[in-house]
Amino acid sequence: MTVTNVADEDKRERRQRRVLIALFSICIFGFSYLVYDYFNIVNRTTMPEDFAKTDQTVRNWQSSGLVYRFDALQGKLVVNEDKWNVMTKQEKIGIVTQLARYCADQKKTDNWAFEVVGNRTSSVVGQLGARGLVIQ
Amino acid sequence: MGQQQLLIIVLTVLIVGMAVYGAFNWMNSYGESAQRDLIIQRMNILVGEAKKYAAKPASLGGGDGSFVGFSPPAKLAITPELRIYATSGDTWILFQGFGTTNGEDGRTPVEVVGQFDKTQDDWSTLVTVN
Repeated sequence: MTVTNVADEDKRERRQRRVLIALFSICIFGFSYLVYDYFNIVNRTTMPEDFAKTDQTVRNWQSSGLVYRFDALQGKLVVNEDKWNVMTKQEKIGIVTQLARYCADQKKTDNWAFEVVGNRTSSVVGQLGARGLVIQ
Repeated sequence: MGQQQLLIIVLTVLIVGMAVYGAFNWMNSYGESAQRDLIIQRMNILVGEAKKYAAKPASLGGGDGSFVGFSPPAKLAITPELRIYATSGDTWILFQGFGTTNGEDGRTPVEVVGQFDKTQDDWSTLVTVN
């Protein structure tokens, strides 16, 4: 057994406590950042890239009144124009491109063809396909 | 071994684990972003080709001012690293680019969609879809 004096032991204790505090701080800071980053990303996302979450997202839109009908095989989304019109262009582009990708995956094709139609006027308010990417 | 030392070991293992996990994710996202950049760079080259096509008169096999009929050269559009498809209209050309590395969803390859507008002489849309 080594013999140390009280002052040395005290110093060692203090050093260990400082290391512990530093490690705890790093852990708490790292974890908080991960949580913050995750919620930040989720809040910025209009439409998830993960296909498994697409149906749930569309169901959420249906319950919020934005979407009336979604047909993946026809590549068609029927929306409430009033709610569609208040969305930003970037949000609309995100929805059209992600759903076009989802529909192409369901149909097992590389050709993307997707249309967003207004429920009231039946006019096309967004599309991706033979006429390019058009957002109203 | 004292309780404090045990705690230090546990915390160190936790931090190292977090760092390894972070580095792995960072490497993955670096690979994805490199492929997206490659697709966008290739799309820019294809826009140049499309402009050359549009500038040629129809008698020389060009589009006579329009992008309609343009098909991207296969050696640029289909390579082992990427596939790019184009759809065109008079004043626009829409590209869909697919990579080989899995994208954000971790299941399907990275994808970029871009639409070039001749009237603006710029990309009207350039979005990362995956």
